[in-house]
Amino acid sequence: MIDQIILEEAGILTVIGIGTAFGLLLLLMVVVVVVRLFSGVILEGVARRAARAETESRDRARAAVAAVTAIMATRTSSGATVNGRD
Amino acid sequence: MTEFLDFLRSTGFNTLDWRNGVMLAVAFIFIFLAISREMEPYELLPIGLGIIIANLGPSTGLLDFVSDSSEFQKSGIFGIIFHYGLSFWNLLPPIIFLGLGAMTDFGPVISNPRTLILGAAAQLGIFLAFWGALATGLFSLPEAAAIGIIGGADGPTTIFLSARLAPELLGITAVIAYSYMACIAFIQMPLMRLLTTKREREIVMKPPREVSRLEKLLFPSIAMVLIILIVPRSAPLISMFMIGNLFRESGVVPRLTTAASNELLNVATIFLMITVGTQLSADRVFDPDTAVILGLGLAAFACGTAGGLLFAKLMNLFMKDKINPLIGSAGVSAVPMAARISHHMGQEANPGNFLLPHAMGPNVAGVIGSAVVAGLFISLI
Repeated sequence: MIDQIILEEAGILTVIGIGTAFGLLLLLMVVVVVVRLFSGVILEGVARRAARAETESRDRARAAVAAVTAIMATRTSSGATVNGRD
Repeated sequence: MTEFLDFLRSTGFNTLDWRNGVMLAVAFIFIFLAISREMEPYELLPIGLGIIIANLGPSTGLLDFVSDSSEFQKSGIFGIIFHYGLSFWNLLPPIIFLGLGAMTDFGPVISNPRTLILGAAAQLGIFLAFWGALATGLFSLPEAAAIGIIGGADGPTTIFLSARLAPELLGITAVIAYSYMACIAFIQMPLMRLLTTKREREIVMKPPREVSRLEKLLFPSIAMVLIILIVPRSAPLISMFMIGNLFRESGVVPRLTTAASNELLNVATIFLMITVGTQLSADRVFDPDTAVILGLGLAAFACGTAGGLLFAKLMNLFMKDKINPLIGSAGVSAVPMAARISHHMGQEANPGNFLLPHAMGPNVAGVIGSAVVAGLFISLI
């Protein structure tokens, strides 16, 4: 026969123990979801910035190609050679 | 002639009886299983060797510990390791948790967070054994908690809690926890077959999604803060576990990760396992209370397994994406043996089934769950 006081204490321990184990692991589930959303936003931002930087550098390269082509075209039409020698 | 008789009396043979013979036989069975069958060799081999040492008589002095002796060599090596490593300072369990953390991948948990709940369900075995121990009338509340934690199937946690609440039971609870962990296949497999249908065992789960490094860094950091704030007494285990994991996931301290998961863990395992084995002396094992604890520990392991399995089946009633209930049994910690058993059983039912990454989720959750329950017991008792 278990003592009444021990019985009560054991009952409380069991309820708190099981409750905390389930509650805490449920909380960790929420943490996982929040972390996923948060990292999704951050990683999306990083990806967007990287994509923007890539687009910018590509545009710059295109502009440089266009500029060189334009200069070459102008020099050809005015009779000058590309490397500046006659 | 007198000298010869004195010599004979001084030999170990003089202190042995049939019970030591039985224990030596058990030790050789452990060693045979470890070497010949490669059955959990990292546990069974050192434990078996420890059992041999423990049963060669007290005259070796290896297990003695005298804290205030002015005489030289009054304490034996295993007495010192037991006292400082396991009992008084309780140094080894947190070190083992550091190593476990450095080996753990939270990817499966982050990829499928539902599996965390299975880790909680498998802790039911702890409370069943706790009540069972109280019902026998042989044990006090702290002792019942130390016996109950065997159901967490986590050796370091068992030692951590027993050392605090019931140091007199420390040796036997640790040995029982590790012995059952080594034999977990024999306990879990029949239950898994009994409690699941072949169709359930055949369920193929979607492969886990790719988890980003940022998620793997954020989860252990936030989890550590939350768990320690809610259950501060679990901090020695949880903090070391998460620190080890953050070493790993940071990717910038590979030497620390390797040291924690290899050198440190191996050194701790050597000391811990042999010392645990040395606690299996015949006089302790052939005590009626030990037989009761053995029975309760077995019931706790079985109930933890059943709790995880049945909870997974319950979850399947409400979920569109079914989970294979076999992964529920991995919630009883015992990393990674329990997860491997789930995987093996899954492949037995359906060779195309690959449950290991899924089973690691409840397995890791079980480690956290049992450490939390141990922390709670320490806070509240």
